[in-house]
Amino acid sequence: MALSAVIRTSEATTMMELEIELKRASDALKSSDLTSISLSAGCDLFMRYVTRTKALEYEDFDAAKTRLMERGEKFGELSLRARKTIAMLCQDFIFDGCTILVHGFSRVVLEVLKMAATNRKLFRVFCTEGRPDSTGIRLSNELAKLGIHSKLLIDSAVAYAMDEVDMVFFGADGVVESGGIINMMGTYQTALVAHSMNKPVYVAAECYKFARLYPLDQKDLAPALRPIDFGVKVPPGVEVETSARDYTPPQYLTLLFTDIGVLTPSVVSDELIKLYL
Amino acid sequence: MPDVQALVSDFVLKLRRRKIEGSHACAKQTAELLRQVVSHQRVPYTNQAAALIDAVKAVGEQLINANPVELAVGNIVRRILHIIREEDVSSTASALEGLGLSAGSDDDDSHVEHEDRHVGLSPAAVATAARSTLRAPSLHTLLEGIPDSATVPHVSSSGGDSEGRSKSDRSLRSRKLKHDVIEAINELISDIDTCHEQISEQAVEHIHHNEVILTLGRSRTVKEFLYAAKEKNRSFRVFVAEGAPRYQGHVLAKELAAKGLQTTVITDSAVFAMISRVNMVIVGAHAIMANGGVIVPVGLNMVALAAQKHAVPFVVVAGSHKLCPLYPHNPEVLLNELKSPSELLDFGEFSDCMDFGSRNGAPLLHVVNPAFDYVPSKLVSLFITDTGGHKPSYIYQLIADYYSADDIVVQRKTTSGN
Repeated sequence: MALSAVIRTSEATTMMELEIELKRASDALKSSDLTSISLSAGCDLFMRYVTRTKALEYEDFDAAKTRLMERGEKFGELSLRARKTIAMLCQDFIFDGCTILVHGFSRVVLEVLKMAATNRKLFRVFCTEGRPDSTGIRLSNELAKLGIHSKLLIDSAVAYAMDEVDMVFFGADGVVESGGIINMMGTYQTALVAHSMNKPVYVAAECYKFARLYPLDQKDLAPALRPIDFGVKVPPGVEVETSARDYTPPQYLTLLFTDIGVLTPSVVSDELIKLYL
Repeated sequence: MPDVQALVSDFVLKLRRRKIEGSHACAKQTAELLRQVVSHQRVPYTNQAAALIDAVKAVGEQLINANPVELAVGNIVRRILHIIREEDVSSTASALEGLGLSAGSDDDDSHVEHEDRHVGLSPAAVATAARSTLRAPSLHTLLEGIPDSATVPHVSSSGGDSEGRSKSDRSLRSRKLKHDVIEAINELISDIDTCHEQISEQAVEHIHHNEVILTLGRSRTVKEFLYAAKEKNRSFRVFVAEGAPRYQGHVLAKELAAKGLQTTVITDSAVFAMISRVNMVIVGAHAIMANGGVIVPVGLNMVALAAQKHAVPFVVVAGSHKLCPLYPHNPEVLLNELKSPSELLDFGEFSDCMDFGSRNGAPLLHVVNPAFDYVPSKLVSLFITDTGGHKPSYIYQLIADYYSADDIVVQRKTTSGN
């Protein structure tokens, strides 16, 4: 994480200065990509982490600084280890002969599937195409390399295929305070279809993606715009919806797999409150 | 030790042969057995808690494997492991307190001073920090995790390092730990015994005048709950679905009528017809899972669905020993038990079509008699446990209070391995 590098290079002599410097750095990071929720959530979490240590008292500043640096590195390490933990937790839920629908390309979900494959589980994966970023094609590429049986669907075939599906897996850009998730466009509709057909919807996300947002509806989030190639020329005067993310409310999610355990959506808000209150 | 081993294998055998049934009996006997195990376990001077935990785990594994469907057994094993861990933490904290005091008295004890400086906090703070490691992991502890893991080894090393302390002092401590653990287990046993009373104390808040209550089968907790409301002079009516194939509902109806309650017996298939006249469904449970779903006697999923259709509250009463920290991955298959078909059919009459000798060896008639249903958390309106009423979404918090995270994972590995 870049922020721990800031601490290391910082010349600050008091905690206050250090904190201000850190704040500036995290703001700079956040502004570099306004749309990335996990980035800003990660920054917030790191800041919280730092301000919490400060509450523990240290006599001299240098000791505190080295301690902060340690913690910063540990934080980065934790985030990496998180994926493995999540994959471990998911293993009990993937049973032999099941069919998993995956929407979007998520490294966590890939790790989950990878571990399931190395555990000699037999399962099929349906990947949605994931327009406009073709995330499904990327994912199926990876799966083919691992020797996992996979099948590509166009995004509009989700309801058609849901009959055969046993569970739906998503990653997440961000997990919001209500317990819902913000993820790639199409997550919401996939979750709706799964919900109406009584299929469990699982989300795999590291807990640094927990964000202090509370979107009330779809328009309530900063849109991440993507150019969309329709393949044909769009006539002038026709508007194009270019947002690439949507918000899935918590009632459509069954469980969240995070590195702090298997959670129901309602736990997320409790965790966030515990941390920031 | 040999007599404890004999007790354990005896209990395992009973569980395997389904001689002990019902989560209450299972929970209580498990707790009593484990108390024996703890009290007979000889504890070494160092690391007594680990020795106890190992002993309990070894026995617990056997018990869980004996009958994985009786989740209460596993719950009690985990509860006791949690108790040992907590007692260990509090006893090290009090020991630290002692260390801190002696540091004040003789200053030349540089080692202790060093120790104190490292910890730099009051023993109580250390205890709370260590206790927080027992809790389920959360964002909070994730962040606090590093100082915790830094102090906890210090704490345990403080026990090992202070070689100067006299041995008698330590053996006193170890005996104290064991004593405390046994005390706590006794408390747990009495909790299991009194859970019915504590649950039924809340009956008046939930049952009102002229209400119609529906229940299925017979659960001791439900019975006590209804009795308690009756004793507080609430007049209400009870519909009892008979609960095929065991017809325990008949027994319950008889008992309720004896207490002077207006009771109506209906068949299980009449539940949907009657549900529109019902104000509340109150049922007992076999186990409550971590996601708020419940494992209940067979037939209750149907009742829950009927209740949902008519927006009737579906209330589950259960003692806290039924709280299970596992998630139902595939509840219909994994956590069920198939009982003998003789409860359903008379063998004499049906023996012709169940004959294995006919045709190609397989009988034409199959009888399936599952013991349990799984009711998903969204169909449950309220849980009433001995600690009060809780929403299904709050169950995870109760579980975090009662169990330590380490035990859940360890046990899950052993159960899934079997």
